[in-house]
Amino acid sequence: MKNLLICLLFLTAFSAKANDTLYIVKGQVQLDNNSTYMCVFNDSSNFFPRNATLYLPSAPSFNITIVNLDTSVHTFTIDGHVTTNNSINPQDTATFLLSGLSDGTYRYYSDVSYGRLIGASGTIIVGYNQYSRFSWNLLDVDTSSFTNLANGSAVAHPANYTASFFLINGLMHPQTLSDRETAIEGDLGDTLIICVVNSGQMINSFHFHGFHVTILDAKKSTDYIGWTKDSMPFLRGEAMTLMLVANQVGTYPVHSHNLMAVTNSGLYPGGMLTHITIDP
Amino acid sequence: MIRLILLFSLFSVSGLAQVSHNYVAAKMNGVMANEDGTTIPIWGYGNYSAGVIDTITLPGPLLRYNFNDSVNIHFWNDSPEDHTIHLHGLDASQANDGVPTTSVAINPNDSITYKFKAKHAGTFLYHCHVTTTLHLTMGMYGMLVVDYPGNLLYQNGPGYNKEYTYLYSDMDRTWNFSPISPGPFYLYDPTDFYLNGLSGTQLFDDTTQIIRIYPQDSVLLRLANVGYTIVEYIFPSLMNATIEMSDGRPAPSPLAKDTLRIYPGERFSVMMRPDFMHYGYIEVNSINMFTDSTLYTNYIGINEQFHPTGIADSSRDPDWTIYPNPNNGQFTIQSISAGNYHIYNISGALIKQMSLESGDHQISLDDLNNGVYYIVDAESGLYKQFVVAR
Repeated sequence: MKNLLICLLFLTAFSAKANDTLYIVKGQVQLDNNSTYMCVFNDSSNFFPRNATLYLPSAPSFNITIVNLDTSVHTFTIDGHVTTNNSINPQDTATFLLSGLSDGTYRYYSDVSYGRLIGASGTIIVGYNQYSRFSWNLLDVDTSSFTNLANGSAVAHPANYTASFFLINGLMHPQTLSDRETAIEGDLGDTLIICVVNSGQMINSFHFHGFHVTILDAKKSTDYIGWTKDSMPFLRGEAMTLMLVANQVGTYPVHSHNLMAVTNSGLYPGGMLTHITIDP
Repeated sequence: MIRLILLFSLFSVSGLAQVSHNYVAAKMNGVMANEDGTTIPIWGYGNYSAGVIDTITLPGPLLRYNFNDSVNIHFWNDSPEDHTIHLHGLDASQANDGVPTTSVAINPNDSITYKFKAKHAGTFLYHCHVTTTLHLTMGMYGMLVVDYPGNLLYQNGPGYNKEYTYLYSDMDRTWNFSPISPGPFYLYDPTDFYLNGLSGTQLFDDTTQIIRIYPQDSVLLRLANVGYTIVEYIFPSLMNATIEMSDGRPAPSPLAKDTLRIYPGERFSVMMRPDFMHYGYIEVNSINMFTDSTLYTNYIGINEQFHPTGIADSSRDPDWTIYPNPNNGQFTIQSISAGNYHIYNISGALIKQMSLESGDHQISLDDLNNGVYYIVDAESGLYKQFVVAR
């Protein structure tokens, strides 16, 4: 086995040491009556159609070990941080040291078409651990194209790529309402952190009912860092950190405003739709 | 839709705050005339009073309030299906949010009063939130504006002397013709692309859509996207466009940009403060959310009366003439109406201002260099071009 140790930036004297292992696995997934395949970074060797979210403290010094259980070469890539010497052969293992990451949201992914195009893309959240943190990993799915990429009969999505399922953390509405990482919950006066990664082919534009949020960090829409908005785009590959101050009680939807994406195989409501619930 | 700012408010902020009432109804039997002559069925909103509902329009009527108003929108569903009004971006309470699952759906021939406090000035939307994917493309949306007093964008914000609003939307007209069986919603394929419900040459046929802007003007554009595609505005660099607000909140600092992409649900306030006179267009591209391909391009005229395809509308030619043209700097303006007229060179620099009585006038501009010039009616914006060639 190959064991890579990549030091990204200078270690911070006060950073905490930690480590974790993720497994690259491919498997079959059932979306309503449609079956397709996805590739994901799981936190166990058993396939589950949801990428692991890594929650790291501020100024992390963190060893992440990647075990490639797929039959093809993959990479562990974080744009701007891990971009070289990062390929992992089938059944091989590599370890990467994550350090020098400032507070915010990062996207990690496998930079091969049969990886990133069929779901192998997850979230790293650094800092903000004094607040309740939520993580949304967005993915649109054209089931036939995912299947073709997974079985090697295609190397890219076709020009007529047509997504019919729209997932947050591998879930579609109404599953999104009961998942603690997806549905936003807090008490009046709380500050909540929502970390978003767009792993799909579609640019999403999300709208928050009841609240405005402040964009703390964005890797793509950098012009809008510091802006306070109720609707904002999540570009392809985006990793964005949002702050919501819970200033009124109640239950409010939050959803993609590209309204094709609030459907499940064409039926409304569905897809990228969840709730914000603020208790007194 | 233009709103000329004629009077500056003399009232204090608190003095303007009031209880405001609007009466808005939903109907499902509207039609709109498309640029190609097709009549398309729409659902939508109209104002009503004394039980009589205005003809529904696409978009719905502009709802306008003052900062700090306590707003009451009395909504009447005069249609055979459930509808609501979602107050997009107003951060209304759950009961007033207009979402069937978390608030309440308004049944046929039922009514509700939506209430909110206009705590933030800016540009907002309203739309139906019942089966939203369908009801939006059918036309159930409009723009909502909260004005800050004194023609300021917001408290201590920049001022403006003219304002234009452009609400972008798109439509898959096959759904409008067959709303009972539109097909799977993920197959939405837009066929029509609108600004204020107009497209292509319609944006020039309705002359109120053309921006009349002169040097020293501060023109506010309120831009919103309620479509299913990205709308990309490309401003001529001479307009010195800056983004001042988005979604009813000030930008941390003004952002100078000649290209602005607005995604579904977003709103932006853009100021244009040109140093020079300009005749041209804002290019408005509709862009696919998956492919980034441009699906259609609309144009907003900047002092320019005709769509760039060059389809001229003689009704917007001024009825006065210049002769000879070309000339040597001495020429006659014939049959002009009384008013103020400006002469600009091709770079937009102001050359001369004139106050003319009606009739014919001999003009001598012997110091003009050879080139192209414009005489502009300062009130209507209509203009004639002339050439000096010695």
